[in-house]
Amino acid sequence: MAGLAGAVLCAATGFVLISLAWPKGSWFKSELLLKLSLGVGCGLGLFSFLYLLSLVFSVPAKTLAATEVVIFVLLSILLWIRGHNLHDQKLLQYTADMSSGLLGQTLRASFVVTLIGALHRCLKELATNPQGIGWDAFAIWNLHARFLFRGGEHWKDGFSSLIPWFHPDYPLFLPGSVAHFWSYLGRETTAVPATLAFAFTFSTVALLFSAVAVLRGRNHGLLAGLMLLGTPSFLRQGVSQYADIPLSFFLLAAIALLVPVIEALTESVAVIVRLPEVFSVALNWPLPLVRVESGGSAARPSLLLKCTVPA
Amino acid sequence: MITQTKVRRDPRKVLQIRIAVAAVALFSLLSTGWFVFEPVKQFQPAGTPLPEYDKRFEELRKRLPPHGVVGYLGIGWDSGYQLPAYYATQYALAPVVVENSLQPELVVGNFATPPAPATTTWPANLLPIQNFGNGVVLFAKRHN
Repeated sequence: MAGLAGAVLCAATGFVLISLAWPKGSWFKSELLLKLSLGVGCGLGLFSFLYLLSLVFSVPAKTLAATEVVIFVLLSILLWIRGHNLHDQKLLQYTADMSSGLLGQTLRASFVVTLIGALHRCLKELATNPQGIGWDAFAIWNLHARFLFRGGEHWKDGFSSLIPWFHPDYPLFLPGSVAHFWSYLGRETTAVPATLAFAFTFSTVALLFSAVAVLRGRNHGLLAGLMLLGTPSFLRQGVSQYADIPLSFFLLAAIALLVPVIEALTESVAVIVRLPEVFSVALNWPLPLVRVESGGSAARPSLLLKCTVPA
Repeated sequence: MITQTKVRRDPRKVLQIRIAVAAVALFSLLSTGWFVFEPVKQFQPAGTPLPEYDKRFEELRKRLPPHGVVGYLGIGWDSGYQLPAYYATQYALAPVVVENSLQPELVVGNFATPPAPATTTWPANLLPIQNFGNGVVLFAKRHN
């Protein structure tokens, strides 16, 4: 129960944080799946960082949990205040291709079937190998988590050069997340790394689907999600509990969030390029950019600028 | 605010797009189907599933100090399992650091098959403290 409450708190904090950072967005309605999938990574990032701080400053687990609840409440109040001061606008004013034609139906059906198959297989795989598959899972990531959780004040012992394969330079995000949930539960269980692996694998799919759907339309999103779900090596990596899938999640998140920024910048550049046109309209000044098409005795408005240029 | 508009496409292009999308959907379905029905194998890095390997060292963990460095002696493992057995021992005994040497004061003996106390000759510089009976033996360094 404590683990479930911790997971919900983590995801909710991530969602609130993402909603706060969302540009001019309504805090709940728009791009919900995109925000939810981003929120999972964001919440885990924040919580693993807080857990590491609690280790550094020897903060008890209960104090850490209380701090996290306070952070969530404060962020929620901030979001509520912000929500009241903003209009409901979306990241992209997109006319989504909600095509219910044969193409859309085929994609939707294929996506659902593939998703069910992938879910079934991944759950089966995680039930058989809850400690992960392959070397990195147990010899690096879950071992780091054990040092963080079991070590107490001596958690830094794991960074000893006596363990040659330990890779002390590797980020503590994944082991920190695992150890944090163990501290919520008060015991070690293989269900935590297995659940995290599952969450990251399907959050990556949800992120790809929702980001492409928001940026290019639902059918494009379905197609992208379908291709990812139909890649067994991706799913295998996901359930292996390696760090590659969490890394790919954050890279994808960065790309997905950069695309609208780049598009907005491109738009701004276009505006700057067109500034002379705008000024020519304002000043009624015939610049070389302006095409004047004369017909009869009166000058016709330029097709380019849709303005009347003095003869 | 960015706005996007729909582009009217050539009917031939639409057909090509439909064929391409159908091919992607078909291959994704086939790939998933193959993956779903593939048998699930249990991961056994040292010839034993990790949870069992963890259980093997449970009693030893209670005897060891909560932190510090212990040595390691792996005997009787196939060459392919020698290193994985050492890695899995470190995984089971964390946060105690397991050094692959006989230098520390305490040394963990990890035997592929449980050694018979009457017939086994222990290393000369090690004194057995406790034999856990499942291939795990705790040694202390013998001081002359």
